[in-house]
Amino acid sequence: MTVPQPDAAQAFTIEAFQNPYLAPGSDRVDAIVCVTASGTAAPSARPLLLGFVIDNSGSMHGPRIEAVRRAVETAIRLLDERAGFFVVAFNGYARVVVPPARATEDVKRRALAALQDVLANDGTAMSTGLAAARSLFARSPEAIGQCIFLTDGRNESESASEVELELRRCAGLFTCDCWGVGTSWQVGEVQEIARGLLGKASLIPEPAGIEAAFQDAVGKAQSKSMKNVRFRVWTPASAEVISFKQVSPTIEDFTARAGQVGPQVREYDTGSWGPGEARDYQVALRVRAGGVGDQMLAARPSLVFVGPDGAEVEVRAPAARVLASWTADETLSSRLDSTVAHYNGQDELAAAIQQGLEAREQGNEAAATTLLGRAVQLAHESGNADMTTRLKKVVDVVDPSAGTVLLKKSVSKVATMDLELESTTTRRARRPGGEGR
Amino acid sequence: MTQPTAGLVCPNGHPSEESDYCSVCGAPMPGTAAPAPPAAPASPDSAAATAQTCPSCGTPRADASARFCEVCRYDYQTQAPGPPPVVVESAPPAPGPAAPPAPGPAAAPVPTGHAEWEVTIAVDPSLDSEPDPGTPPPPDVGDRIFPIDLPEMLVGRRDDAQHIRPEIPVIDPGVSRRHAHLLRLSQGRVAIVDLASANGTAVNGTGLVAGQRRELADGDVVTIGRWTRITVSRRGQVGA
Repeated sequence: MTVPQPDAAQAFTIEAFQNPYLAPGSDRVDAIVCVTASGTAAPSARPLLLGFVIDNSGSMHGPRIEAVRRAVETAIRLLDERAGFFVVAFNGYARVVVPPARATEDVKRRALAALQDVLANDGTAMSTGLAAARSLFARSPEAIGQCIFLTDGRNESESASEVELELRRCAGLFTCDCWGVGTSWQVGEVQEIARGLLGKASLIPEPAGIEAAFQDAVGKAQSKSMKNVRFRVWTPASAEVISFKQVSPTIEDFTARAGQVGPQVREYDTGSWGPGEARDYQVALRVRAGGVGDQMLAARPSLVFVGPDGAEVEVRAPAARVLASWTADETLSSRLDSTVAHYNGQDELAAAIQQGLEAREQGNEAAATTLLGRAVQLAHESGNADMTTRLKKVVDVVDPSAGTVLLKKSVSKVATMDLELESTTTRRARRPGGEGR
Repeated sequence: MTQPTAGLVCPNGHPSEESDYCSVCGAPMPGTAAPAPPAAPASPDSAAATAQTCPSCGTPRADASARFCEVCRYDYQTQAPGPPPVVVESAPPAPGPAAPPAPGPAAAPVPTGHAEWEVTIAVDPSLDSEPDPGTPPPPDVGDRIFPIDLPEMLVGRRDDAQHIRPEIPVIDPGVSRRHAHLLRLSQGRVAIVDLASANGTAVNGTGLVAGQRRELADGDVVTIGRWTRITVSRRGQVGA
């Protein structure tokens, strides 16, 4: 390709927010690192390969499989000819309904005909659908692999370890967003697939909503221009990474997924990025405690990806440095940076919702009232209006600023599942320099 | 981007590949005038809040989330001045006029007739149905009197780590951090609402339903936790 590329080193801006001041003897450093992809990236040389992995078990029979046919039809109409796509249907086993091909008019027409032959029957074994997709994505290593996974039931025809094993095989080959239709599926099962493949799990209450969800997914998939972007963290020899989490747009704990690149360098796969995309990460480090006046670099975050010419590019920024500076001045060391504090609050919000829903499930109404009340308060304080709206479907809010709530007597399963799924969706921190989303 | 540079040695003697901070130990490299950490925390918001002082009486703000000045009750949210201070019957004789305001509403010196209600917090070991020798009631704690002088006052256990500083702090392991709200209603009425506390709230021996408001009358006794008795009383000769 001869498309002029913007300077690869400008592909991301990286900025750390923290209070660098520590009390003497203190060894814990917390920072939020905000990453924004350049908004002007030239169209990538990398083609998109979009895989549809569709549950066609018996429960999909009738309006659901009909709606899926329509939704896939709409989705592939939106694909431009540079992109490729395929369709896999799975129940107890998987079949390639439409093999990978460029999205030309001819291929789209043949795909639609093939979709008419997909019948809904038999059980559900999700790993089979993922395995088929993996083999197809593996044939196109140069493409940006994005997968749309749809189910409506429990993964009843295999053990959970099958999925876990398959997810490890798929990791790095493609990313996957998941949708569950109706309320007979298990949030945990579908969320595990989305998490393992750096995507998001969402709920579609009625089959009619599948079309809109797929349309959004195609738009998002076609916006990606970089794949396998890795967040790299250098630390001093004496330091260790306690935790590494994505905190915006959703909370995802990446700590256990660290790849050790060198004795002092770890990398975390963040998947595919599109121009202008922004994500925030939370880094917690333990360093060797210093004395008053000591100063050190506690971490050097950077982003690494393979450029269009096949060479690895590392993007660094002076503003991304995470520092530690020990001082006897307690007014300095006791301050909490507002960005760090914001995400601590969003973390607590997610935990309060999850534990509150669990307590309600177990019939512990007092604990559920307290926890969901705390969630309402945190959502209110941080301006997370979407979360407040979702919480109001589960509790009656007496006083949002005090967190006083009453549990609703009857709550729809859709509202509960949706709240659980979205509990980790955060509001982005307002930045001193600019407005967050 | 920092270029790998040959021959650099950090103050701790490590050969460094970086010119700003040592690539082994992270120490600032000499000669490169290691940038000092920002003079203030990265966020001006938190700095401003920490440094804030009450515009009404000059007391430093307890923390950024504290809504009211802890001395004069100035409201940071609505920027309304606090209520005129009230006298408390058990207070010592008013100090001289030049004395600075002492913290806490109970010691505020100037008499006016603003709060119509007050609560008396007492430690009553006889309430403790299952005394635990490991956590005895605090000895020799006198009754504490708080005027109900805010629209909403939190009764609970103070927890600095979680920034929970109730207007009416109670020392009692059976009391939740956010236990109940005392509410000042219109027309001089007051009420209490249990905030889904762990061990509940009783008024005159009857347990409250969490979240439901219960209006209080003169002489009502609220019991919470293991030994805390709260007596509600209307102040004499006040208001219309």
